[in-house]
Amino acid sequence: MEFREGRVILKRELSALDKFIVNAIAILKQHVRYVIVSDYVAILFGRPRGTEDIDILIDSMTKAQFAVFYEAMKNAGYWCLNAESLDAVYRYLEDKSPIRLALKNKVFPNIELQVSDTKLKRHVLANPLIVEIADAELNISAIEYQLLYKRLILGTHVDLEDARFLEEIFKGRLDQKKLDLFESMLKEEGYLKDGRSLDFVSLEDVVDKKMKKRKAK
Amino acid sequence: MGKKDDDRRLHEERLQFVELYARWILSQPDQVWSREQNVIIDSMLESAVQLDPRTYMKIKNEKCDR
Repeated sequence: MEFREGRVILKRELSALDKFIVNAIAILKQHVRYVIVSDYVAILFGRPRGTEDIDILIDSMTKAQFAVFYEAMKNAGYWCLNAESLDAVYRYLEDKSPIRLALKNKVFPNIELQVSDTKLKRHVLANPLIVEIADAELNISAIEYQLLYKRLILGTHVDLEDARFLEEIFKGRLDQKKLDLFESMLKEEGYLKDGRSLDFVSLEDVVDKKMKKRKAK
Repeated sequence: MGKKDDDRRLHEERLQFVELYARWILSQPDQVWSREQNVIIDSMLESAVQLDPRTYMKIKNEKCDR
């Protein structure tokens, strides 16, 4: 694992899940900006667990743009789990509902595409971390966003374990400014109404003085 | 000791293991840890029972027009 500015180089052997996502992204990236979020991010860096779906944020697309992408996916052997016709599938995207694409006649694994419909999601989409894997590049979300989302929004045992795993992998490489920015955006978008904040998060590798002071208390 | 305490202790133990595992990954060439991880992921996908889309989407509580 080699860490560079805004980029990580992974010389991992590819799992069936990696191959699936690399192939799907090879088509997707030709049509729309994207960023991979959630469970697969931790798995990519070695978390020993599986997932049946890969969550991906994308820019909004016109119907004409989407039609070209959807046709390309169908020609490559994928189908949409939500519906078949272009009109029906596009309606989901317009309604900001996720759509799922898998290899024809399968449901696992699948990619779940969702339009970035908030300021925070658009920011995550515009500022990806790039991971080089085999001969491909994958845009994944900033690790700081993953940590906050998994700890403060999702918060299941598995999410907390994913977050702890990523903290350890990226120890000494996390950006306090990004953590603060994402936290303020989460608050702005009403996610942290009940008072949850970074005060509850044990981010040992963040060297910010304010955070150390809080923890000392 | 109540169930809540047991759950908390187990969760804390799991988190400690997760940390240890992450450190092990960082100490190994990518090929080594990924080969081990792939055994889990590939076998999970191979053994997955493929559902029909309608059933799957119902489980996920998402809309489906199929």
